[in-house]
Amino acid sequence: MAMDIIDYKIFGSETQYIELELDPNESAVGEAGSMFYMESGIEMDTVFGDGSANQGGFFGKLMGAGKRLVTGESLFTTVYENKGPGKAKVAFGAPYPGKIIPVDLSKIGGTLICQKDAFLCAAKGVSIGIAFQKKLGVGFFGGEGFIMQKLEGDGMAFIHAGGTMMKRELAVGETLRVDTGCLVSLQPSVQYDIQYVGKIKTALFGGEGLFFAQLQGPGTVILQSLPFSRLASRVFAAAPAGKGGGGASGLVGGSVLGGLIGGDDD
Amino acid sequence: MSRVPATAFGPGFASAGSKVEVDLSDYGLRLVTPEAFDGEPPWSHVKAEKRGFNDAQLMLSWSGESRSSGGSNYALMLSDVAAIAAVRAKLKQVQPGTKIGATKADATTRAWSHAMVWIGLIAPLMLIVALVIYSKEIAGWAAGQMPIATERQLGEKLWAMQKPGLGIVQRPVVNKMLDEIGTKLTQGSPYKYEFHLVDNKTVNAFAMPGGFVVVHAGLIERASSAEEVAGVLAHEVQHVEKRHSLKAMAHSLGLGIAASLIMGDVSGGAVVGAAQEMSRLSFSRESETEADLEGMKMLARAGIDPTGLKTFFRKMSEDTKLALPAILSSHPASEDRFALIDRELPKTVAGKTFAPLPYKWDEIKAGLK
Repeated sequence: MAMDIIDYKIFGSETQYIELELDPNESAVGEAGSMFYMESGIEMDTVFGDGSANQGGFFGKLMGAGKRLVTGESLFTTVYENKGPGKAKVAFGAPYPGKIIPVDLSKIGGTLICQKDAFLCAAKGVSIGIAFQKKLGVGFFGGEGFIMQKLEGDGMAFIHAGGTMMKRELAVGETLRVDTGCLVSLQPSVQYDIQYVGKIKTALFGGEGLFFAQLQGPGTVILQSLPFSRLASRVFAAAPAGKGGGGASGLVGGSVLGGLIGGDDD
Repeated sequence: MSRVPATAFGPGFASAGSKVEVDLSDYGLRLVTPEAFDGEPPWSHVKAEKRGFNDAQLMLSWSGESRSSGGSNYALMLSDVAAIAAVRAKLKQVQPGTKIGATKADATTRAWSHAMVWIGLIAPLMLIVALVIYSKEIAGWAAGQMPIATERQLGEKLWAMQKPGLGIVQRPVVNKMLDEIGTKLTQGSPYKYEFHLVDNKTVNAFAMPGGFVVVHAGLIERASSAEEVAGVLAHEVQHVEKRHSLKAMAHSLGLGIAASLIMGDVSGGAVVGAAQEMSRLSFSRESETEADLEGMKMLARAGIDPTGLKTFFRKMSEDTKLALPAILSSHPASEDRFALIDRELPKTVAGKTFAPLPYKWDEIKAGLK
């Protein structure tokens, strides 16, 4: 799979956008709806699936598209190709306040597991799949749910999350406890588990919920300081009363329990 | 000796791991790597465990020569299935009896997460399942708890909603007969009954909670004696007495609530919908049978020949073959039901004589016009 080497520049501080400079015939894939602007010479094409171009046949394409749907992306991927004679730029904007972080997949072993919706754009050839969380407890209480995104390839991928991003390389056996929901991405070598906060008093009144996400090295992890759900619930809480109904949750006491367990809804 | 791909972590390697190849010898691990790595950890120093996201990788860790940081400070992560199998085979050979387990969450974490899964998911699901399975029992119990005054209020509200669309008519002869038979039947009942005649050609009669009984003119038309009308009235009165419509309503409400819990719609749409569907509710077969049997007893107690109930419903079932009268869509006729009526009727009438009802049937029919 030939990867396109991309020159990029990130602009802004708290609400960022990224500008990719494409050489002639070079292309990039972007999350649908995230394109900000593009220069002449760049042509936009929508492909079914994830645009990694190596999916054989109709069935392969359908599988790729299905995976994208499950991870909360749209069915189609937009490919931006520079068809002009010179260099041209295309920019993608982040959907909410936060940071864009570039990840060179070749430097981290070719695979990165990300929070759902974290993907912003990438060099063409990076494929977006799903990583299904098989541990029941982690899926329910780890803050990232059961479905995560898996970016594979050896080019540059750009992910976005809320607040300030923190990238950390965990040494062998090094453990980091993280508030649930704050995990953005991890290398597959990192052990992702949940850990009880320790005391019933802390669990109930500590405001962090019943569990932490526990990350154990070796490997790279990327964390966000402000999960979007937390920002959204603060905005929602501050909104004038009566404008929005309480979000109906699927199961009895879902919101109550969610608040207790997740700890990041406030 | 086999060579497998792995990612190496530790001092001297890239912080996000370096791709290396490892030779698995009988003695231990030898890294084939561009980075200078001295040392060949023997199997006895190597710890093998399942690690990584979803425990999908195998981690081989050991302490370095320097021992500066203490503990395991080097690790090889294997993600390739064939490579993991090779290491397992080698380990079995050099260290028989070693088990490669996954690192387990501590007991408290497991206990809490299991408890929360139960409280948050499995218990509500079981509650919903129980609600669906035992919906009839629960509905029956709930309907039984409602005081008669409340039932009357509810009935009055429903009656007020229904009344304008029914086409109630006054036919003095017929109304008089309905009232008289009704009063005879419902003597000593805690309910206050009202009997209404509706100008509708379909053969039907229905009762609403609180004691509102409606008879279609078509039913009087089809009946051939006052005893048959009395039979239908007794049947409908029993629906009120046994609170069948309340039970049916509670039942469909319960199912509606269960459905809204599953669908996540707690806005009450289902509840309101169920209440509106109320007028179209049909009773369960058990309710119909109960109304038949209790109706016959009621007729006998009131001194009216219960044979009329049998003959009328029998007549209805024969009509089914021609057209489907409305009364049959809400009063399912089945051979079982008639068999039961046939069996119970002689017991009910045994040792009793009934005077015929004092109505001239031709005059009643003429009074419908």
